[in-house]
Parts: sequence; structure tokens; C-alpha cells
Amino acid sequence: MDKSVKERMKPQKIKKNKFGLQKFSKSYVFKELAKWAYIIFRTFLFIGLAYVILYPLLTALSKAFSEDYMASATVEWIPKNFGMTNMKIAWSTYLNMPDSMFLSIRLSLVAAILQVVTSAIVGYGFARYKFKGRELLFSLVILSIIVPPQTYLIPMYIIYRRFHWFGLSYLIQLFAPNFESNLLNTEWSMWLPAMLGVGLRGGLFIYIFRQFFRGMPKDLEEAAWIDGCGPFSTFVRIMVPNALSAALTVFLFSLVWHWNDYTVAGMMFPTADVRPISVMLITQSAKAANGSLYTSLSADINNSFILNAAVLIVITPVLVLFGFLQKYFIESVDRVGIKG
Amino acid sequence: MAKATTKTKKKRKASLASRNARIGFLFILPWIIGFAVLFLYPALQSLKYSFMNWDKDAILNLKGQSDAAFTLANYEYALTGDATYIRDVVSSLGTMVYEVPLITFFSMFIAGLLNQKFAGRTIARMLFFLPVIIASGGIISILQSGGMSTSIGGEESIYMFKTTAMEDVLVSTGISQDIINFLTTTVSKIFDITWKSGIQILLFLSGLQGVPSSYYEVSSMEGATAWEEFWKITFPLLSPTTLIAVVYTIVDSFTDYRNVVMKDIQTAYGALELGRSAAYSWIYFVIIGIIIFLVNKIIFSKTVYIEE
Repeated sequence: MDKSVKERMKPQKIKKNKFGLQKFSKSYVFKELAKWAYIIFRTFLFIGLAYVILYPLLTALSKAFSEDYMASATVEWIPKNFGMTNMKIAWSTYLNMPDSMFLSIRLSLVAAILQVVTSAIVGYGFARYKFKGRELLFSLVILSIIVPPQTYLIPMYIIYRRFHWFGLSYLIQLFAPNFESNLLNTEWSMWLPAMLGVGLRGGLFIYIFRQFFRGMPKDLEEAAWIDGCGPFSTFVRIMVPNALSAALTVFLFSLVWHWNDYTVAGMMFPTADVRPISVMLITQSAKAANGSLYTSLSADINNSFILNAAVLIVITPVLVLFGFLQKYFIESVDRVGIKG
Repeated sequence: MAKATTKTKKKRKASLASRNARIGFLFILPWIIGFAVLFLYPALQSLKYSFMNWDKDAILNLKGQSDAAFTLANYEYALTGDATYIRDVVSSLGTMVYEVPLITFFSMFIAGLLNQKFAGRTIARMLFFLPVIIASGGIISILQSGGMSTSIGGEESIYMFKTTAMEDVLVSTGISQDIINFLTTTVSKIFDITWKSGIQILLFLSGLQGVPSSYYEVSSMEGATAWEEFWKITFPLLSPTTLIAVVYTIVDSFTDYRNVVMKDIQTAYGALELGRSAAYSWIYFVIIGIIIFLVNKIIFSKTVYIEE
């Protein structure tokens, strides 16, 4: 061993400064400081943004359970008198609970399941089979994502008012001339498009499934074909069990978006007493915004307290769902990998 | 003999391809029916409505109006007659131009932070997921205004976190008023930006996970700084995600409940002016379509893909 190596192998003497503390090199100190500054910056940023996100929810919580409408100037967060008055009015008068919630649950649950099934099938078709006009058809899927539903909602309304079930009702009318199928105010106005892959953001879900199936290795299917499995049983037996993570993502998003939907559902449930819960809520808030109902400030404040209570009622089921499934919500997006 | 076998092979190949085409077609058949009946047909109908003069009585009695004459009156009204429509379109486009880059960069930045490992990352991710869960424009606007109606609350209630202190400080430094306005409105809009970035953050998070870590290992060995790493590796490789995020943001702001043009469309519909309402939405959609097309072109020309 030569000298320099021996020198290096000797335990290094820790340099001390005049206070007897360990002496670090300047660049090391700078790096450490920068690291800590960064961590502090990040922490503060997240705390600040957490405030921005949680603030409206916390105020809603505070307002919903406060008994005195005309809040005194000293009351900021914790109400002087707790009470359920706001909640009660919001529950029965504003939201028509629990019927509207049952309707919403039925609506979004079935629609979400239908959307998962259809968009999986269609996405698989787009991902794995070559046929004439595939690229064109897929660009139409993208188009259906971009075109907002507001553009074609009015004709939809008229179509649903007298729905012909793809010509079937003409056939029935031969025997029963007065037969008429009105899908308005029924769940079918949401289920039918979901079933046919053009429901709420249906194009996006087809896109997600297509990307997912494209990323899966072809060997599995080829093995299944060689073993004599037909294309449909291959899909059901081989692909579906492997696509559960994508299915869960689509299901959760579809569920939440159907629950929150106002634009389409508001149009499709025009006159029913029981309307989906988010429609009931937005209708109430729109009434206030038009100024037709509340002309005085105190009435407006009163209304705002009840509206906050109503918002809480509407978002609680979704928050509970998220609380239980947050792991799946967050991981699912990573696993599916929505990429370009 | 050999010739014959190749012939049959070719035939079989061709028939296999056509069989596959048929099966593929069967798979997407539900969507084709849905698209034709519940999307294309109503969309074309709505286009037709925009060129029709509607008789309100006919609508109320639910009679079709197939014999109505072709007219440009609705478009003429939208472009010249209506006092607010053009102004609303311009203002909503202005908001879009201003908000889309902000939201894109904000969500990219937050996704970058959330992608690092630190204590409390799960909680932070949960927090940023809340806007995705409560992704309903109506509910957000109630939360934002505290349930107060805008007619009484006025313009002030649009900004939840208004920064007057910052404005005062900036004014005393003597910076021009335009810059101050831009800065203060941006800060005041932090609520909007944060609540509108939910999905985009998710998109960028999953995009970031697709960037191979070996790239960073190489660059750090070569002595690249974090700044260089971001602009030379992360940013280019995220470009496909950026494209999706930008298009999503545009579409989202377009269909937003608080969008003034959407309110115009709804108001016209509520007044049973079906033709006018359809014309409003088609004009707006064509403008947005052109914007999305241009954005697509611009970003697409600079997009980098990872070879798979």
C-alpha cells in the first residue's frame, strides 16, 4: 500500500472551531440551509393551500349548525348557539330528503356500473381490433368529450319527451295507438346514455379504458385464442379480471360526477317533485341568486346559512365514500396512468 | 401445389382480418348506436334549431316544427342584437386565456411537490383530492360565496381571499397600477385556481410517475441542478400530459356552471328562445373548437414522447 492510500484510511480528525463545535465546509452548510429552507417553504405552502381548500368547508360546517342567523360580529368560527334549525329546513324544504337522496343514489350507482361495463367493452374494441374507420371513430369519441352537453341538451329533452326506443315504439303503437314513452323525470334519461357509452363524460371513460387495454401485453390474449377461447370469452375471462383497477377508477369517478351533476340532470328532471339532490340544491341557490326570493339582506343571510347546511348534506355521502376508499381513489389514477 | 397453399393462406389471412374487423365493430357497436342516436342526432337537431324561427306556442304544446323556414335571424340577433352576448363571450375568453396557463403551471408545480417523499404526503394528496370529489361548479360557487346571493353580495363575494394589504404595500412602492391589479387578482384568485386544478394535478402526478428515474440519475451524475432537471427532463417529458391538462382546463372552463356564456344560453332557453339558445351555444362552441385546435397544434408540434 502506498502512502496516500494509507493516509486516506486513517480516521479523519473532526475539525473543531473555537467554540468546540464541529466545523463544516461552506458548501455543505449552504446545501443544508437550502434544503431546510425548501422544506419550510413546502410545509408553509401546503398549510396555506390546505387553508384555502378547507376554509369554505369549515365555514359551511360552522354556519350549518349555528342557531342565530344574524351572526354577531364576534362570532367567527364557533357559533354562539348550536342548533339543528338550518339542517332541518335544508333537509326537508330545500332538498326534499330523503327521497331525493335515494333517487341520486339509484341514479349514480346504476349509471356508474353501466358506464364501467360499456366503456370497458368499447375501449377494448378500440384498443385491440383493427377495422376500417377506427381512427375516425375514435376521433369522434374525442369530439364527444369536447362538445359540451349544453349544446345538444334541448333536442335531447325533446327526444326524451317522446322516446321511440330506436323505432320499437312505432311497432308498439301499431297495437296500442296511445303508447308513448316519456323518459323525462325518470332515471332512464341518465341510464340510457350511460348504457350506450355517451353518458356524462363517457368519451373520457372510453379513452381511459382504451389506454389501459393498449398498455396490457398481448401474450395473454394470444394464449387464450390458441387454447380456443373466443373473442368475447377472452374479453370476459382474461381481460376483465385484469382491468379491475381501471374499472374501479372509472366507477368512482362516474359515481362522483353523476352525484354532482347538475347540468344534465337539471334538464332531464324538469318537473318532478323528487329531483336529484344536487339539482335540488342548485335550484335553491339559483333562486336566491336571481334575487326574486330574497330582497333584504337579513333574508339573504338567513338563506345563506340554510344553503350551507344543504351543501353539507349533499357532499357528506361523497366525503364518506372518499374517506373509506381514498386509498383506491388516489392509487387508481397512478395505476391506470392516464397518459397521452 | 405450393401455389395453392399460399393462396389459401392469403385467403385465410384476409378472412381473419375481416373477421377481426367484424368483431371489433361488434365491440364498439353500443357506442356507435349511442353516439348516433343520443349525440349526433341531437347535436344536428340543435344546429337545425339555431337556423329556425321558433314559435313559442308550438314549444309549449310540444308540437314539432319541422316546416319552419331557414333563417339567420338567431345568429344575427346574437351578434348584433343582443347587448350582452358578445361581451360575455369576450370576457369568458379573457378569463380562459388568463386562467388556463395559471392552472396548468400551478397544478404541474403542486404535482411535482406531491410526487416527492415527505412526511404527511398522504394527507396532502387527500387534501388536493377534495376539489376532485366536490367537482361541481354549483356547489363550489355556493361554498365560495358563503351561500350569499351575488345580487346582494356583489362583486366582492367573488373573491374569497381578497388581499387588500398587499395592494396597499404595492401601491406605496410606486409600481404601475396594471401590474398591481394583475398581481392582486392573481393572488385573490387562489381559491379559484386551487379548486379548479384537482383533475389536472392528478394528470400531472400520473404523468410524473411515467418519467423514468434513470434520466434523473444520469443528470444528477452529470451535475445538473434541479432547475435544469426540470426544464430539460421533466417539462419536455410531461408535454403529452400538459396537452391533455390544457385541453381539459379549456373544456372545463367552457362547461363551468359559472361561465357567463352558459348562463346566457340557459337564460335564452328559459325564455323559450330555443333557436337563440342554440345559436349562442354553437357560436361559442365553434370559437372554443378553434382555440382547442390551435392549442393542440402548438403544443403537439413541441411534444416529446418516451419511446416505449
